[in-house]
Amino acid sequence: MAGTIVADTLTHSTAGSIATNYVVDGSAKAWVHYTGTSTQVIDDSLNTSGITDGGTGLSTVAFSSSLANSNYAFTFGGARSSTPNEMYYAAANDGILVGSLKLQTWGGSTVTAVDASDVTFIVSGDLA
Amino acid sequence: MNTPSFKGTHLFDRLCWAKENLDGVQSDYRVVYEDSVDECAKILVPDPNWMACALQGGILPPVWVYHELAKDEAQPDFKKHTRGYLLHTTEPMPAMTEEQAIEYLIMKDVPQHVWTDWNSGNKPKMVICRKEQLPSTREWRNAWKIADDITATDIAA
Repeated sequence: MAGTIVADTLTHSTAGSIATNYVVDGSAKAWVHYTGTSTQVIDDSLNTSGITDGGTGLSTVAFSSSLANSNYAFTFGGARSSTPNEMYYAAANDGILVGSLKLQTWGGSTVTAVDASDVTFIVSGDLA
Repeated sequence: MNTPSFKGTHLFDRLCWAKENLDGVQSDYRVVYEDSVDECAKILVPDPNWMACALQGGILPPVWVYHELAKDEAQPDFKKHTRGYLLHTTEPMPAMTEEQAIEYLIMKDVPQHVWTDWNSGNKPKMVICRKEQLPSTREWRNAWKIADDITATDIAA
């Protein structure tokens, strides 16, 4: 591809050097920001092909370029709906797959499934 | 803008190129499907950046590549992909229409037993509709089902 630089190390004039695999391995491999209320829509993303709305507080995000294994790391976040005040985000225990990640959101004092208005997550790991 | 020759380029690099050079395309299409009688209907929402890649052509691998990887993932001793190169070295798909892209996405992200057998039961298990045809609120979301009286003729219309 045009514009390619092949380098194993980046060296700053005074601050030292860093191996480029820090950049390659440490960069996010997928991220998404989607609206979880009303008719769901993906607002922006990288390396995702779509989301599947599986019911209240339950969505599965599929990757375009699969992860190599299911031992990748992810973080969730987002904005709460008008109610409740508390929101909790977690991956479904059967939903961490190399090709997709299933997210559940709960909220309120009884911690029931709710839809979050804005949902975000970032995935780091090795690509297939 | 023409797509660079990407055969052999890592798919992630192609997606980064698309992110930088293509505007996202929000599709009005949604895919509603039922993959279990015990669960509510699920709704597949296309990603706008992915849709831009599909319409542009020369970026996404053929869908059979994902099916090959899925076979590997289904093996009981699966730990790590060893055939990920299929994503990167297979000749990319040419430009698709939006409808062709939705069909591709169905075959990629909807369970295979749904789309291979979508109209064999008492009612279709899968419907492609427009966003505005879905309920505008999420009231009783966990009870949503494809209507019992819908037919393949209705869908074609």
